[in-house]
Amino acid sequence: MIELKDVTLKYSSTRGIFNLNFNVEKGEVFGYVGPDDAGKTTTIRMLMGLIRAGRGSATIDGLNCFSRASAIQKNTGYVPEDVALFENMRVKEYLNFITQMRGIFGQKNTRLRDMLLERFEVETRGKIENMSSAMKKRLSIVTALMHDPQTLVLDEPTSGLDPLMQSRFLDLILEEKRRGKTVLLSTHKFEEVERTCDRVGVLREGRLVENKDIVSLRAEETKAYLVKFAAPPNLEQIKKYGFGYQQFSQSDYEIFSPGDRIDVLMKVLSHEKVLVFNSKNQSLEEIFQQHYRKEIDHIEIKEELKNIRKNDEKAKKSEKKPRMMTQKAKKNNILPEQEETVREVKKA
Amino acid sequence: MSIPLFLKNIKNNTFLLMVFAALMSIYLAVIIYIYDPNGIGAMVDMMSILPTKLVNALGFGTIDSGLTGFIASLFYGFLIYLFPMVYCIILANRLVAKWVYEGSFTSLLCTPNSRIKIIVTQGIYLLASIGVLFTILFMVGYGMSEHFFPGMLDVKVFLKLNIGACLMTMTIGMFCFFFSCLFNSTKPALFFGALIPVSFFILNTLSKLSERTAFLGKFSLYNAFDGLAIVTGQSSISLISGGFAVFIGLLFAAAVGVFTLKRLPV
Repeated sequence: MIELKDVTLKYSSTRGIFNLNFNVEKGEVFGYVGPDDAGKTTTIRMLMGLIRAGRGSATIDGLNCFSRASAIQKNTGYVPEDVALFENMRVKEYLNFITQMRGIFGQKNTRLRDMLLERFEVETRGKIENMSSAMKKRLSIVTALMHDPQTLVLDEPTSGLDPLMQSRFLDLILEEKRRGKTVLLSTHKFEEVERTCDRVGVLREGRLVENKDIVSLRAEETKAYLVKFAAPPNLEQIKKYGFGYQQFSQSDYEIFSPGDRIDVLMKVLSHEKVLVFNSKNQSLEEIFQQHYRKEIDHIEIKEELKNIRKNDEKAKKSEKKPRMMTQKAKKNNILPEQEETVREVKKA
Repeated sequence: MSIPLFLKNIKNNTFLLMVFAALMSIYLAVIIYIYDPNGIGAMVDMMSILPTKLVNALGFGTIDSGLTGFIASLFYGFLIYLFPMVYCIILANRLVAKWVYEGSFTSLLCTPNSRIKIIVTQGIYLLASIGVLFTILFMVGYGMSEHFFPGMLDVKVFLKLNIGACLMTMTIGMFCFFFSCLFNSTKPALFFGALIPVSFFILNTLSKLSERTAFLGKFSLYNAFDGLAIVTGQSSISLISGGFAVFIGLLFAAAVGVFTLKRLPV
């Protein structure tokens, strides 16, 4: 179980993470999303004991993330965002080295490792420096999972992987979840969250602005469906049940429904003759962006207010020197008029 | 100490060690080879042609007529500062700052080994490899002397010379190691790692120039080790060794302390 209590880690007054509170329970996949520079990687590196939190406590299975980092690492797998391996080593050599660093000597049990190598199609011949970045990422996934850890901390694990590998990786996460693992998954891809996560935390500017389970997030979401009717539908009925719609032509409609009322919409539409029923591919991305937008709007409003105030002040100042301004204004006004007259003359 | 990491260090850095060991061994061998028990007067005459200040600065001011003294003044008087210094700067940087900068140190820390254990392993490798370097030098010096001038080398004194020089180099290595642990990037680590020993070296050289600059030597670590004084028995090797050992201990502790608390870069 991962536990963060009031964790603050400042780089500057605006950069870092501030008063973070969240838990990731056993058997749960926690999606950690947010824009770039929000502090996702900082949080994760703090959990891995690479940086020390300024205030608050962060623990994994009850162990402090900084002082007991080595004890935590026994049972933790970490996939970093930017993979940096020992470039001059061969793949097998590297894997053996890490296994030995984990305190396991001799070729005891490489079954899981071999399975992972096969699953992610990692090329085991050759040096690491000659591998593509995607291959390095796959190798780092194998390294993180080969000791069958209880806790997985994944920092954008699928970035740079091809769709097939991404899908394989997500399947693996689902399998691990079924086996009761604790998973923290930081990502930009919302389909990953939709497919694997039980709960989502949205981080923005170092603060957790949302921490909800997927079910309630889904309920908040407004789904849109593109529907083509054979005959003009009974719009009164649709309105009555609280669904919004937009009409494109006599038979084409877009109907909006809250995420938890899709069954009701089905019942209503069952009385109509529906030719085409397509769900518009709306993703969690749009919900998150709504969260972001709210904040952006706030900022914009604040800035507008500031600007208005500034303008007011300027206006007051300018009132003190009215003559100069009016003279300049006159000049400006006169010039274009004159030009126009010149043009007219030329035309004539 | 982590044994797999220590073995990896050996694998990574043996070539570097061998290059320096070979360079220094060849130098030492040549110095022993050119020694002529009867012709030492000619050597002194040659030195007298050169400006006294230059000769003093190079540490060739007094040349002992015995083989041990000859080696002490020509090899352990000047060259012993330069080659090992460069070795320390390069190795200390390779052991910590380079991996931290490249990010591969993360993969070491993401294994169940504490920071202290890992950094102590790196420090021990640094000390051990310097130890190996001087063991090789001692063997080469002893072998060459016995081959060309059997029975002329005072083995005890030669051993003392090597122990003193070895501990001095370890101290310099620890300075570099400290900066390698302190900084997250190779540039400042290399800069400060080189600045300290180079300034020691410059102060030491300046202090030998004249009476007026002699006080500068007090600020240089290299002044504590005087090869010729050990041969003539003027300075006590146990005192020097003790002093260096204390320095090594303090610097090692500081390096470990700094490393265990620092924020590692992304």
